This record gives sequence, structure tokens and C-alpha cells, in this order.
Amino acid sequence: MMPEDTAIVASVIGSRVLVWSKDDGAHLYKAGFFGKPLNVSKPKDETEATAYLELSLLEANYLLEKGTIRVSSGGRPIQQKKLVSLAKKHFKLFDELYTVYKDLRSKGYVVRPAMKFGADFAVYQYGPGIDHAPFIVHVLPSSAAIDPIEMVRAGRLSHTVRKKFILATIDEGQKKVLYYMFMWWKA
Amino acid sequence: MSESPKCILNNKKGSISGPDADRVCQQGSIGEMDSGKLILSDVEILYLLERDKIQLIESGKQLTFPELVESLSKEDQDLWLRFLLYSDLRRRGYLVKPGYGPQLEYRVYRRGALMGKEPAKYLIYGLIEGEPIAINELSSISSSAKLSKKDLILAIIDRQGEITYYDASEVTL
Repeated sequence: MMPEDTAIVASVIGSRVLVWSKDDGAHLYKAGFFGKPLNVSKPKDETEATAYLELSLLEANYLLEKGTIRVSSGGRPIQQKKLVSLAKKHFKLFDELYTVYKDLRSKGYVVRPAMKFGADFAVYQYGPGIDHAPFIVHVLPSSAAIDPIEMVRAGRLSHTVRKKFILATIDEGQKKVLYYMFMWWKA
Repeated sequence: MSESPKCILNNKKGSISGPDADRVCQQGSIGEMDSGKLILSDVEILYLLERDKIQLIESGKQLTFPELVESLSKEDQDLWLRFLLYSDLRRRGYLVKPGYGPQLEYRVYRRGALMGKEPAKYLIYGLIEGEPIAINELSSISSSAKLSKKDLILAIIDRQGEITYYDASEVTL
């Protein structure tokens, strides 16, 4: 954990967390592809990433937990607990998403949103723009059931976007994340 | 069709005796030999019967394919789907053996596998259109596939018997 005074300052704005220092923003983006620099869709280098940085609540919680950032809301510092409860308001499956997010980040992957691929996470080995074939990960709570049509849809989708489709779920007993890869099997 | 080997039906199992036993077993890669007799499971009987490879006799009376389907389905709602999945895999050239559970499950050997020389490569698990599978059910079949060193293949059977297969291996990231 970093000493508090070297931590980057971030501020809760509604359902997002903003880093107002453009240099800090560029640093975070470069350090692990955290966040989204405002008005830059695909930053090519640090100069382009020098912008206000928007972090998701998943990223902000992760960076706060690591001590990389500290977070304030309305000018007052807030603790992790508060940030988690804020995140839960915005993500129905926050616990599951966050568990998977942390698991993948701790293994060194770059984890980005994957709305455009129709999934929860796009997972890169090096980072967007560097490797072009991320996995797409869909998170399901262990209490869920999968309709077979969802599997076919997922299989079709991954084929269309040429990405590997992975289903992640949490094994509550073993307290670990299980990953299943779905691929069309040419029988 | 009077030339076809006779198969005697008794308690949902079929048995073929005499020189036919070995021939059907070898040519069809089907059933289990047991003290000179070939024992066939319900889906194996249906598969051979539908292709006119055997004639089926129960209590001295000859049974047709539709008659057998009707009678077995009374007690087993999934019989038809088990048959569809079995024949689809056979028609694709695979050797197919029963799975571990009572479900829609088969062990399948790689193409060209030598029976008795190597274990099955795949565990095929049937899913039916409209019937969701619980995640913990998926986890448990996945770990049983992993334990027996087989690839888990999910066979999704649509409302008209069309089957799409998906490899659903557990992976370590």
C-alpha cells in the first residue's frame, strides 16, 4: 500500500470517479489502462492520454483498495466502504463483477469494459491497441441458470467479433473464480 | 428383413446371441459383450432397429421401431432426446458409450479410436432448448469431465431435434 500522500486524488461525480489532474490521469492510463481519458477514444501515447480521466466504480474501488488513489466526494474524503455501497447502487452484480475484475487484474491482465462486444469485460494480455484479440468475459452469479439459447447467442457473438468468449462465475465454496470457455464444436 | 440378426428385448435391454453377437458388435461398434452375448442399451437397440440392422423380439412377438419408442417413452420422457443425441453422434462417425449419470450424457471417443485401447475423449452433455442449466450443475459436470480427463461438450438440442455442439472447457486464466 502506497503512503496516502503519494496517492492520486480522485473525485466522485455521480456514478463516475474523475481524476482532475491530467498528468495523474495520463499516469494511471499508462500504468495499466485504467479509466477513459475524456474526449480521447483510443489514446496512442501519453500526450494523447493527458486529459481528465474517468474511472469506473470498479476501477476506482480497485485502485482505492491498492492505495493508488484516494477518493473524495463533495470535497470530503470517503472510505472504501462508502465507495462499495455507491457502486452497489449502480451495479446490481457489483460483488460478482468486482471479484472477477480483481481476480483478472491480480493475474496481470488489463480489464476493460466490453459493452461494445455485448459482455461485461474485455480482457487483454497487454492492453487495448496492443493485442487485438481480447477475451470477452460475461459474469454470472453462482445462483444463476443459463438458458441454452444464451450459450448459442454467446457462441455466435464471439464468432462474429472474433473473440474468445468466457463465462465467469464464483465458486462460493472454494472462494475462487471459475472460467469456462465456450467454443463452437465442429462435431 | 428376415436375414437381420434377432435381438431379444428383456427389461429395456437387448441381447443378441450366437455368431451374430460378435458380428453386430464388431461391425456396429456397439453394445457390450457379456459371456458370448451382445448386450444393447435402449438407445442402441433403437439405433439398430431404425436402420433395420436387427429384428427385435419381445416375448416371442416382433416389435417395430415406433412401438418400442412408444413403450419406452412411457417411463422415460427423455428417451427420444437420448436417441436423437446418440444417433446424431453416431452418424457423425463417433463411437458412443453411456455417460456416468442418468442424464442426457454420453462418453464419445475420438474418430478412429480403437475400442478398449484408449479412454473416451469427450463427455457429451445434452441440453434442451428452453430448459436452463444451473451454474452449479454446469460446474459439477465440468469437474467430473476434468477428473476423467475429458473435454466437456454441450449438445444443445432444439425443438425439432437439430443439435449444435459447444466445447465448454473450464480454463485457467
